[in-house]
Amino acid sequence: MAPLLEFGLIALGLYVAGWISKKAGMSSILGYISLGLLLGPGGPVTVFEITPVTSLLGELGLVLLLFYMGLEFSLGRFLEGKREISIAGSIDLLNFVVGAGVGMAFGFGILASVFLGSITYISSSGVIAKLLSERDLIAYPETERTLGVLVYEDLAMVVVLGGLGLATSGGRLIDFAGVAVFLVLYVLILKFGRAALERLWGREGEALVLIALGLVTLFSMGAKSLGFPEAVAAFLFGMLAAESQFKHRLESTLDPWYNVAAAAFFLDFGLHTEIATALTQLPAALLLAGLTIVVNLSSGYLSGRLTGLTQRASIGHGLMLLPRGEFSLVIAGLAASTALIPVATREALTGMTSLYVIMMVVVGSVTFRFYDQINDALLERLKSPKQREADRKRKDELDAMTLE
Amino acid sequence: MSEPQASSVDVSEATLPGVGKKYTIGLRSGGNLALVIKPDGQRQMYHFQEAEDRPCDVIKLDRDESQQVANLLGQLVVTAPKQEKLALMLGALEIEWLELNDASPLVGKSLDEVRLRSATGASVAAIMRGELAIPNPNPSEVFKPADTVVIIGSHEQCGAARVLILGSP
Repeated sequence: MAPLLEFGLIALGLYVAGWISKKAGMSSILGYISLGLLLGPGGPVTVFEITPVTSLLGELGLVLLLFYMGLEFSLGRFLEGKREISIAGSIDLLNFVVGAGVGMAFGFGILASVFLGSITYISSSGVIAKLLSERDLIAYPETERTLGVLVYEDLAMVVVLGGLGLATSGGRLIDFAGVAVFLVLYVLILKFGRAALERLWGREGEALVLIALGLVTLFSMGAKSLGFPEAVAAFLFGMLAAESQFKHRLESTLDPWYNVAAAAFFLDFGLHTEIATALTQLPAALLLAGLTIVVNLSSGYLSGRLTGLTQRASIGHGLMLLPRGEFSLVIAGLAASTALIPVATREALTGMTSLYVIMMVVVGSVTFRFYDQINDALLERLKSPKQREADRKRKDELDAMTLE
Repeated sequence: MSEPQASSVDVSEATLPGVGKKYTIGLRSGGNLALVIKPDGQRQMYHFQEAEDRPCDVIKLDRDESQQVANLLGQLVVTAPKQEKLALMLGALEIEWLELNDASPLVGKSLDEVRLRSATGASVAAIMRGELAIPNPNPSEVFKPADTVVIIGSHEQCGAARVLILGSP
């Protein structure tokens, strides 16, 4: 297929897929992955192949996704509510145990199990932030806590990605030397390069887009050539850009680019998933999703109660953290390119993760849509029979009073 | 003065990463008002009834809508003391309302030309033009007859500004 024809099909395909998911009340991520799954080389109808075009878009998507995450990362917010976020974030780590446990039980080995644990651990800040805005839940007290935990997760994720990247790079001494060189370079830029960067960030329009795209991709590729994971490098670069006084303009200028690139990243992931292999992983994905729901709700409730939220808000905190998305896929992608994991396990992991993410996006979208109802129903369940009896009595009394 | 002072309004601020900033104001009439400011300029106002932690109503305002609402809310506060005395004392700080007429030396000049702040130390907080309120006017804003200029500064600074604006103390 001619590259331009392919590009046109991808662009319109993504648009239609996103539009359908929106109509169905779901996050658009769902449409993007499904498009890759259903119309990719491993799907029932093959429209899209894995080509230099899709690979370029996918890699650009990954790097921009992480760059944007670094740009939005707010250490200040973390320090603002250090105590609450530390407690709630640490309890939230229980979600790591779900994937890691299932991985060990399936005999995936330690490395693959750590990957799977990270996949079930990390909630999707992108999906959550979007749903919170759409459903007018921003002012709920649990929202503040949820967003705080997401900051904790972002931080944990950078450590995990960095660690996994290093662990899978082969672990030779020369690799560590390269990483050390990268870190020294980063610190040097941090110390001496800010003024130069600031001048670049001060540009507008297409100049800013070109500068940002060029710098981010070159920076992460440079890191990669030194043996440092490119995703983490892009995140670190985003954090550097977040220091700029032009941060907001940078965000708003890059926003459409970022969203398009992220869509392409999801498509690319779908393309790399064999649907037949994925379906054999359906029971495993269901197990992961079921366990995640239980553990996520319990840990959310527990951390909410321990950090001073009401019973209702604590349940809500657990509900809000349910969606999984882009970062689970980033980690699965990293796992898929790791030679240290056997091919069969890698394929199982990729298939399992795409189904798992699809399920969790659906669960998350439905949860946010009927947020108050689900919240109330769970609250009702949590009450002791005695309490329920008392509530019913009071309601009867109230009804009787209004009748009079 | 029995008027409640601004400092006694209880406002708490929180950063919501990726969403914006949230300001929660405890209302004397009971309940809370939460104001969310998003990076794209959208404002949302949430009303919480007493002892409720879920809002009972949401108001969403675009950038220009919120500007309009802010003007109207601000105008009430600003015009209220007009009936008795055109100055409001807030400790060492003074806010004064000065009405221009055709003879005022300021008329026809822009804020930039007048250089009120460098000359007197007081600054123009707002210009009231008929029904319209212009808070934090641009330097290019030109004064017109019948404008009410709201200045803010210390007692001395306001005195000096009065001379400059009205031509007499």
